[in-house]
Amino acid sequence: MGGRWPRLFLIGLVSGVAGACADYGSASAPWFEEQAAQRGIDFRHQSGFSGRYLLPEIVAGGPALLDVDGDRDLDVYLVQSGSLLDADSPPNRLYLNQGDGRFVAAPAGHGADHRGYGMGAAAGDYDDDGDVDIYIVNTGNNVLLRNDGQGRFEDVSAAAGVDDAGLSTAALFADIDADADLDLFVGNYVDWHISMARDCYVQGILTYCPPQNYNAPAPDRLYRNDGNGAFTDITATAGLDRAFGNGLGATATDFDQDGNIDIFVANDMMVNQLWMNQGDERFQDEAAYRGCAVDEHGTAKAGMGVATGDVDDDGDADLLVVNLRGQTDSFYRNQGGWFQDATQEMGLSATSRRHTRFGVVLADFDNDGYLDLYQANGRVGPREGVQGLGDEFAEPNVLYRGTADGRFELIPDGGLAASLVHTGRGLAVGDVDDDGGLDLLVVNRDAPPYLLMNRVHDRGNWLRFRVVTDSGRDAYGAVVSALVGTRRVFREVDPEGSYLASSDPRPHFGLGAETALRDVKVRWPSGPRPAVEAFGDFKAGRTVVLQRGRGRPAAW
Amino acid sequence: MPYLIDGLANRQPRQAVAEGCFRPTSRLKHMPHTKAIAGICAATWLAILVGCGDAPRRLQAPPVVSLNDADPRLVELLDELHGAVRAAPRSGEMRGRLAMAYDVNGFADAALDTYRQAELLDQGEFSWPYFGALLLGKRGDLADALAAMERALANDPKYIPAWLSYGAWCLDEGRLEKAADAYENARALGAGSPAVAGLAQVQLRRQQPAAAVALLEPVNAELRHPHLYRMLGSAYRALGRHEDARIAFARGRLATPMRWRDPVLAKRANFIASFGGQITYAQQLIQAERIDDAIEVLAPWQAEYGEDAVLLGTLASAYIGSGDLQRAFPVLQRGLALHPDDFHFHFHIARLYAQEGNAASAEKHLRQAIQLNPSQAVVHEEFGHLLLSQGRPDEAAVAFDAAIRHGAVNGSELLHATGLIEAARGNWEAAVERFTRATEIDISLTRTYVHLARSLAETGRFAEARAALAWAERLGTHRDEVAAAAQLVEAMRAQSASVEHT
Repeated sequence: MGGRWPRLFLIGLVSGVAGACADYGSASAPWFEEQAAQRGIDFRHQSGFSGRYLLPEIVAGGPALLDVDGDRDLDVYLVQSGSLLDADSPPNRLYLNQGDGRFVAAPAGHGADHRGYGMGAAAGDYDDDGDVDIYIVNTGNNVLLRNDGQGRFEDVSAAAGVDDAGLSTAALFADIDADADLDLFVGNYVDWHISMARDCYVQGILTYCPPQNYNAPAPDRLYRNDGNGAFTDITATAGLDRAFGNGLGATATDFDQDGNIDIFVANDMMVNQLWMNQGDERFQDEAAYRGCAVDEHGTAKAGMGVATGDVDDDGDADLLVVNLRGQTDSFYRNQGGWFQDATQEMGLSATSRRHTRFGVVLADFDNDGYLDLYQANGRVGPREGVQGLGDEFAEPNVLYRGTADGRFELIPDGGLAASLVHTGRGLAVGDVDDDGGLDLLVVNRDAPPYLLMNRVHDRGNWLRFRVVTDSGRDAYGAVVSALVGTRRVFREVDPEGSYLASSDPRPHFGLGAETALRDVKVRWPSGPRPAVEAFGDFKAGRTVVLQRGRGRPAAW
Repeated sequence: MPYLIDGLANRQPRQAVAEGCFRPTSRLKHMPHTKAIAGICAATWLAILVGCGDAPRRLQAPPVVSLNDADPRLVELLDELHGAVRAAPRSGEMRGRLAMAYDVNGFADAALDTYRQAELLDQGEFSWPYFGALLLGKRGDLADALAAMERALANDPKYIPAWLSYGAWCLDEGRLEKAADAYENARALGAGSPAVAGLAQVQLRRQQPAAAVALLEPVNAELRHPHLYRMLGSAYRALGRHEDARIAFARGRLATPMRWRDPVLAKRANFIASFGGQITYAQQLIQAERIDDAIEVLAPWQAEYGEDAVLLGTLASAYIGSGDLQRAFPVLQRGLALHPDDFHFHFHIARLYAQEGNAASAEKHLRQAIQLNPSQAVVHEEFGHLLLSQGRPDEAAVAFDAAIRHGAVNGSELLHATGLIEAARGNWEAAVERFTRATEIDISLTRTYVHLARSLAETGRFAEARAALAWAERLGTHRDEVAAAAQLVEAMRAQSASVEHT
C-alpha cells in the first residue's frame, strides 16, 4: 500500500497542475459565430401576428437536431408556426447536412413538410426500427411522422393515437414503463382556442395575456407505446390527471435513481410537477416534497425551459428551470432524489433576472469537462419605448461558463463577437460540423434562426458516444460514466428538455487536457439485465458507439 | 390583506428635511458597520454627483423617453411632469414624481435615472432610493439594489418592507448574516410572519433545520400559510421526519405567496396614466383584497370606457367582492347586453342569481358560460354546486368531474364531494375510488380519510379502513370524527364477522 503513495501523489500533482493552467474558452474571445444563412438555412419563423394578440404567437418556435437519413451527421428540422387566422400556413422545413455542417433543403417528397400552427418537436425512434421519428407539437392536432429510414416521413398520428389537440408545448420520448420502447409525454400549456383569445394590458400597454388570465391550465398527456405502432393514453390510470398547470418545459430522467424514468414539468406561473415513477405505470407528483415545486422564497415562477445535467459530478441529474424577466433561474441541486434550491450558490441569482429565458441547455462548449449554460431569451411583454419600432420582444441570449468550483460565470455578449438581439425561443444543441465543438440552433420569433457554430479557439479534447440499444436506437435515459483524469463524470443520453426542442442525444465529454476517457460504463434505463456494462478506455477525438450487450457486466 | 404587519399602520410620517443619515434606532439590531457602510456609500455617491455637501453645481435634465403609440394620457402626464421639473429644477419632489410616472408606466431605465436625480436633490427622502432599489432588485442588479436600500434605510430605518426586501436580496447574494440581521430588524419592528419566514430561511440555508422548526411551528400554528408549511416540510425532511414532511408539504401545496402592505410603494399608483394601466392596477388591488380602493380606481373610467368589457367585468368583480350586489347587478347586465359572448358576464350574473335563489336563471347563464368557454374549471364547479343545491347529485357529479378535468385548484375537495355523492347513493366502490384519488392529491385531508375508511368498511376491506383511519389520526385534526369513524368501522367489522360466523 505504501508503495502506491508516490504514484498517486504524482497523479494528483499532475492533475492539479493541468487544472491550474488550463483555461479553456476565454471570456474575451468569441465562443460562437452565427452562420445559419451561409450554411444554407433559409428558414424564417412566422408567428402570424397581425394585430390581435393570440397567445400561441408569443411562445412558439422549436428546432430539432437529428440524423434523419442515418448518415451520422445532424440534420435540421425547423417547425413553422404560420398563422392562427389563416389555415394555409407555410410548412415545416427539413435541411439535410452535407457532412460538413452545410445544409441543403430536403428534396420534395420527404413528407416532413407538415403545415399547422407549429410549436416545437420531439425526436425518437418510437417504432424501434433504427431511424428517428418526429413528433410535432402544434396549436391544434399534434402530428407523429414515421421515418422510413431514408429520411422520408409518413403521418401516422391518427393510427398511433397521439394526435392530441390543444396548445401543446413540451413533448418528449422516454421509456417510462421499462419495456424497451419509447413512450410519449406531451405537455400542454393552456386550454386555449382562438374564440377565447383576450387582450391584456401589461403596464398599460396592450399585449399578450399572461396564462393566468385564461385561468385554464391544460392537462398533460402520457401515451404508452404498445409496441405495435400504436399508443394508449394512460394519463388517468398513471395518475397524471391529479395535478397540472400551464406546462411549457419538460424533461425526463431517473431523478432518484430507482431504475424508473421520472418526469419534471415546468409550469408558467404555477407550481411545477415532478412525476415520480412508481414503477407500475403509475406516477405521483412529489415536486413539493422533493423541493422543486416552487423556489426558495416560495414563489411559483414563470417556468419555461428546463435543462438537466450532473453539474456537481455526484452521479444524479440536477435541474435548471428558467423563468421570466425579474425572476431568477431556479437551479435545483439533486441531493439523492430531493432538491435544494442552489440558485445563489451557482452564481445565477443576480444575472439571470435580466431577461426572459426560454431555451436552455447545459453542455460543455469549451470541452473543459464542466457543463456550461446557454439561454435563448426574448420577452413576452414589450420593451419600454420600442412599440412599433422593430422587434419589441427582442433580447440578447446569454452564455455562462461552468467553472471547476461548480459555479457559472457570465460570458459577455452571449459568447459572440457582438451581441445578437432577437426574440429567442426553442434551442437545440449538437455538433453539426462534427469538429468536436458543440454548436447551437436557436429559433427566433418572426426572424431567421441562429446557427451558432462553436469557435472556442482553445477547446479541450473531447469524446462522444452514440449509446444504443440492442436494436440500434439511441438509448434515451442511459447514463454514461467515465473518468476524466481522476474525476468521474456522468452524461446522459438526453435529447429532451430545453424548450420546444430536440437535441443531439449523443453524450459529449469534454476532456480538457486529458487524452482519453477511462473506465467507461453505461447504466441502461430498461430491459433485461445487466443494467450496467463496462466498456473500458477510449482515446479522445472521436465518436464511439456503445451498444447494449457489447460491454461486460459491471457495478455502477 | 391576509397577513398584515403590525406597526405599519402606526408608522410616523417622516420629516421632509433629513435629520442626517445616521439617526439612532435603539430598537433595531443593526448589522455591524451597516450604518457606517450605508452612510459612506450614500456620502460617496452623493459626492460624486453633486460635490461633497455643496449645492448642485450643474443639474442634468431628466431623461426623455420615446413614446411611440403611447396612450395620449401618458404623453400628457409626462409632458406636465417634465414641465414641473423645468419650473423647479432643484426640486427633488418634482423629479421624484416624474420618476414614479416613468416607473409605473414601464420605463425602468428612465425611472432609475430620474430617481437618482431626485435622491440627489432630496437627500432625506426615503422614497427615491427605495423605489430605485426595488427597480434594481427586479432587474437583478443586487449589489446596487442593496446599496440603494441601505441609503433608503439610513433615511428611515423603521420601514418594514424595506428590511424584508433587503433580507431577501441578501439571501440571494448568499450574505446570510446580513439577511438574518435584516429579518431580525423587521421582526423587532413588528413584521410578524414574513420576518419569521425570512429568519427560518436563513436557518435552512445554514443547515439548521431544528432552529427553523423552532421559529416556524409557533407562527404557523396560527397562520397555517402554505409557504410556512413548505419551509416546515423542508426542515422536517432534513431532520428525517419524513411523514411530518409529507403532511407539511401537502398542506403547503398551494403557491400562495406571503404578502405585506407597502404604503410607500402604493403612492406611485397615482401616476399610472393609461386606462390599461389603471385596469391592471385595479385588478391587483382586488387580488390584494383592497376592494374599495379598486372601485375608487375604476369608477371614474366609466364615463369614457363604459362599454369596455374588461372595465365592466373588473368593476363587477369589485362590487361582488365588496358585497355590494345591488351595484354589481346593473354592471353585469350592461356587460351582458354589450358582450353577450363573454362568458365572464354569464358566470358572474349566474352567481348573483344563485345567491338570490333564482336557480333557473343561474342555471341558464352557467350553461351559456360553459358553452362559450368550456375550459373554465371554476364555472363547472359553480354549476356543480348549483345542481347539488337543487337536489340533482348525478348531474352535480358530472359537473364536478368536468371541473377536475379542467384543472380545478381544489380538485381534491371536488373529488371528496363526488365521493360523498357516490357514498350517499351506496356506490361504495366508486366512493372508494373518489376518496382515494382525493388523498393522492392531498394526503392531509383528514375527513376524506374518514370517509374513505367508512367506504372501505362498507366493501369489507377492514384492514385498509383501519390503515386509512390510522393515517387520519396521525394527521391530528378532526379527532372526534376520526374516533367516531373508528368505532363505526369496528362495529361493521364485528357485524361482518358475526354474519360470517353464523
